[in-house]
Amino acid sequence: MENLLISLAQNLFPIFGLLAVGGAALMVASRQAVHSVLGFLFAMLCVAGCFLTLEAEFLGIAQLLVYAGGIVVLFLFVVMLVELTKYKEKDIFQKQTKVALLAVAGGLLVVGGALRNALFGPAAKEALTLRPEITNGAVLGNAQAVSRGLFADFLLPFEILSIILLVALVGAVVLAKTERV
Amino acid sequence: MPSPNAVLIISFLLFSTGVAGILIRRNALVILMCAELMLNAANLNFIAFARHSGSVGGQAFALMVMGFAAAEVAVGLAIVVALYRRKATVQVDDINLLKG
Amino acid sequence: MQGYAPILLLVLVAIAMPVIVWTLSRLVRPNVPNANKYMVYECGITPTTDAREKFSVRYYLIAVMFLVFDVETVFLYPWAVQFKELALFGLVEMGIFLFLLLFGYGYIWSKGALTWE
Repeated sequence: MENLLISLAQNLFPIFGLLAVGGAALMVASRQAVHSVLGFLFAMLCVAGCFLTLEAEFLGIAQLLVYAGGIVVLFLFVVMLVELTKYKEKDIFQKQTKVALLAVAGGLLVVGGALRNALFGPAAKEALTLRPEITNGAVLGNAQAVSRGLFADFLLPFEILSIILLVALVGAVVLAKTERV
Repeated sequence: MPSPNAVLIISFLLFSTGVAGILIRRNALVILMCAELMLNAANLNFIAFARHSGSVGGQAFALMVMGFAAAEVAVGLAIVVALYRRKATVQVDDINLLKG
Repeated sequence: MQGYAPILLLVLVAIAMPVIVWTLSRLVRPNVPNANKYMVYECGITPTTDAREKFSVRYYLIAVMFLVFDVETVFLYPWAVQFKELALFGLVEMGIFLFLLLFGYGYIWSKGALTWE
C-alpha cells in the first residue's frame, strides 16, 4: 500500500495529464452541452493539478480561480440561456467528421514522427528545475517569482492586457445587452 | 519530477483533442471550449520550458495567456448569445450567410 | 513533489467514500420504486416546471463582469506580494491597469447593466 502511494506520488503528472485528456475527450464526445461543460471543468481541474506538479503553485491556483471559478460558470449560464433541448435529436457531429478525424490522426502521426526524438527519445540531461538563484536566493515563493517575471519583463503586454479586458467587458455588454433598459 | 517528454506528450494530446473537437463538433459552445483547451495545452508547454530554461518569464506569460483566454471567452460567448437571439440556433453550420 | 502525497491520499479517500456508501446501500436496502420516489427533490415542494428553463441574459452579464474583475484580482496578487520591491514603479503600473478597468466599470454602470429589473 505504501509502495503504491509512493509510486503514485512520483507519477502524479502523467496521471493528472491523462485524466485531463480523458475529460477533454468526454467534452468532445458528449451529446448534451451540460455534460460537455462538466468534462471541460474536469479537464481544467486536472490541468491545474499538472501545474502544481510542475511546481508552478501560483499558476495552479490562478487556473482554479479563472477557469473553474469564472469561465466554466460563464459557459454554464450560456448553456442555460440558449435552451439546447430542442437540438437533442439532431446529429452532434459535422458532416466532415470522418475526414477531419483522419486528418487529425495523420497530423498526430506526422508531427509525432517529426518530433520523435524530442518526444520519445532519451530524457534531457538536466531535470526540470529552476535556476538556483531564483529558487534559493532569499525566501522566494512561486508568486514572488511570477511577479518578478511579470513586472520586470512583461510590462507592455501587461498594460495591453488591461486594455483587452476593458474591450472584452464593453464588447460583451454591447453584444449581449437587450435594448429594454 | 516529471520529465520534459511527459509534459510534451500530454500537451500534444490535449492540443490535438482540441483541434479534433473544433473540426468535428457543430455546437458553437463546444467549439469555444476546445479553443480554451488548446490555450491550456500551450500554457503547459510554457511552464515546462520555463522550468527547463530556468527562468520565470514563461510562468508570467502563462498567467497573461489566462487573462487573454478570459477576454476571448467573454466576447465569444457574447457573440453566441447575440447569434442565438437573432437566429435561434447555436449550430455553426446553420449560420452560413454573411448578411443575416 | 512528495509534499502533495497527503493531498493525493485525501483525494483517494474522498473518491472511495461515496463509492463504498453507494454500493453498501444498494446491497442492503429494499427496492420498492414508485413515481413519487423518483420525483425531483425541491425541498419538499412538488416541482411545477422542468429544471431546464431559459435563463435571463442578465445572469450572463453579471457573470462576464465577475470574470473580468476576477482576472484583475488574480493579477493584483503577484503585485501585492512584491509591493515593497516594486515600489513606486509597480504602484504606477498597477495604477494604470486599474484605471483602465475603472473605465469599463463606469461604462457598464452608465449603460445600466448593474441594475436588476
